[in-house]
Amino acid sequence: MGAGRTEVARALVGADPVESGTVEMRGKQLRITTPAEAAKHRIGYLSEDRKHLGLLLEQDVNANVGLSSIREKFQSWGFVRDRAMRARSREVVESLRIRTPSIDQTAKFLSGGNQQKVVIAKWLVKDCDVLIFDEPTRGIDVGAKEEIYRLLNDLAAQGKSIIMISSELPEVLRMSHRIVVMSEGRVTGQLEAAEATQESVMHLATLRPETEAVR
Amino acid sequence: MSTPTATEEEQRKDAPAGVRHTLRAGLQQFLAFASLLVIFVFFSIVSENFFNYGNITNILFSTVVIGTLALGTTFVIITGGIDLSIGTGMALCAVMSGVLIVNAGLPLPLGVLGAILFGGLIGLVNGLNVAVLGLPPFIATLAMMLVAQGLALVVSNSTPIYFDQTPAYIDISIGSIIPGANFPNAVIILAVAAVIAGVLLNKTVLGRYTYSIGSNEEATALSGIDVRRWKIVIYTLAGLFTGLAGVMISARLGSAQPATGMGYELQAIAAVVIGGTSLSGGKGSIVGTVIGALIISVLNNGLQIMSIPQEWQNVILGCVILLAVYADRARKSTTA
Repeated sequence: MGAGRTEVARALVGADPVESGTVEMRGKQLRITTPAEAAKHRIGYLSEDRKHLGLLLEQDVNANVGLSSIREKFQSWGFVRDRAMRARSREVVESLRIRTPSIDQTAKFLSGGNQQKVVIAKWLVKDCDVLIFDEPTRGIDVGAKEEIYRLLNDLAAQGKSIIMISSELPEVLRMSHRIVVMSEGRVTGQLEAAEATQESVMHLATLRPETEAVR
Repeated sequence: MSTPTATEEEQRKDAPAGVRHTLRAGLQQFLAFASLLVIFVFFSIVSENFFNYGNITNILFSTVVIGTLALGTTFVIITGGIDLSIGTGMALCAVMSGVLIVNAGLPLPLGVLGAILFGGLIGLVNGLNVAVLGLPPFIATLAMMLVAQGLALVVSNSTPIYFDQTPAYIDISIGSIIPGANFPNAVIILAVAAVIAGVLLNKTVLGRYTYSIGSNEEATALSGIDVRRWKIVIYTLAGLFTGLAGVMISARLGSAQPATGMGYELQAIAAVVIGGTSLSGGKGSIVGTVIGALIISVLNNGLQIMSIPQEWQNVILGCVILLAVYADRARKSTTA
């Protein structure tokens, strides 16, 4: 799209260097230069490109689900506590209703929606406070979309902060409490859910950013 | 999907980790193992000098150096990297062992430890070059291969260092801790090293990350894993095995030969690949690597016994490597 949404998200978690600006969480300024540091602050990023940047396609569901939290939760003295990790994997697979014959299934054999849920499961197990979902419903079927919406709502209800990046207007309007619109790399406006309409969002999305307008 | 009964479900869920691992890596290892068996049976039939205690011990003994190098490099290759410095790095570690034990007169355990740690240092430098500077592993370790070769010659003044005065050192390799069995310690050390490598790869966080990085480095990094740091650890680990190999080869020869080492890295990599570890990363096993190393030494030994000239031995080994890679390809296209 070129609006710069993914770039902002990647900079937030330290996947790309920050050119300017600061990141604050709970009133404290954070210095994040790698996704590992972001994870330490319990910020997780789910890429829009789940095949290349989200999943270990050749690994099984269990390895994918445990990946982010293995060091924090499923080890003692460097040894993997396999039983605990598998138990937790089975638990999330069940609660997210990921359709897979078992947690030993290789991720590449799952459907798009279920793959997406595996990526979400990874961050659920990590127990993040801030989750950045980049186009979470891209390329998955309607049923799975609904489930992911429900999941996002559940997470929000549990007090997690969710930044959902999306270019599907109905989805944005339906899911958000607050909408930040970007165009050509700049934030062009912020709307509360109550005042947001298709028209108001589209208006901001098609604004030329101020830097351009000045010239 | 049919619904399995509760007990079936439970059984499947509670299958021990080891069993599942074996099943999953099964096919790739089975192929390698079957090949080893076929080659073994073939030589046993065509040559009466092949299958006897002395020769089997010989084969195992000649697997030690390549096997030790291959163990460490398995980790690196599973991450999708490569380590070309292990051959000459081994020679440099052998020289360091000589310098510490013969020239400086350090007690054996200290000298051996020093040589192994020096291998770790070589690996650490490789790791820093690859992970921090972002050099391609091929280039970084190619450079290290030359540096290590040069340093081995410089440090030793281009002359071998002999361990004549420290027979206990030589016994690390050719002595026999099992009384009366005439079974070289080196083989036992390789077996222990293989078990350690297997445990590290299968049971530890390090092992899981090794596979993750090889499967998808970027996704692993975005999952909050400090990929750089773990790569450094993995290359250092490979270096420690290089150091151990340096001790093993110099103990076996009774001397540290600074001009050797070149070519060992390729044999070790061949062992890893024959064992079913994918050069593109994400897949592989220690059991496979051990089988791969055994295939190489069984081939060398058998062909020698059949008095097939060295040149042809290389041709045959090359063909075996090609076969292993073809098999890997074929397997991929059927499962994809």
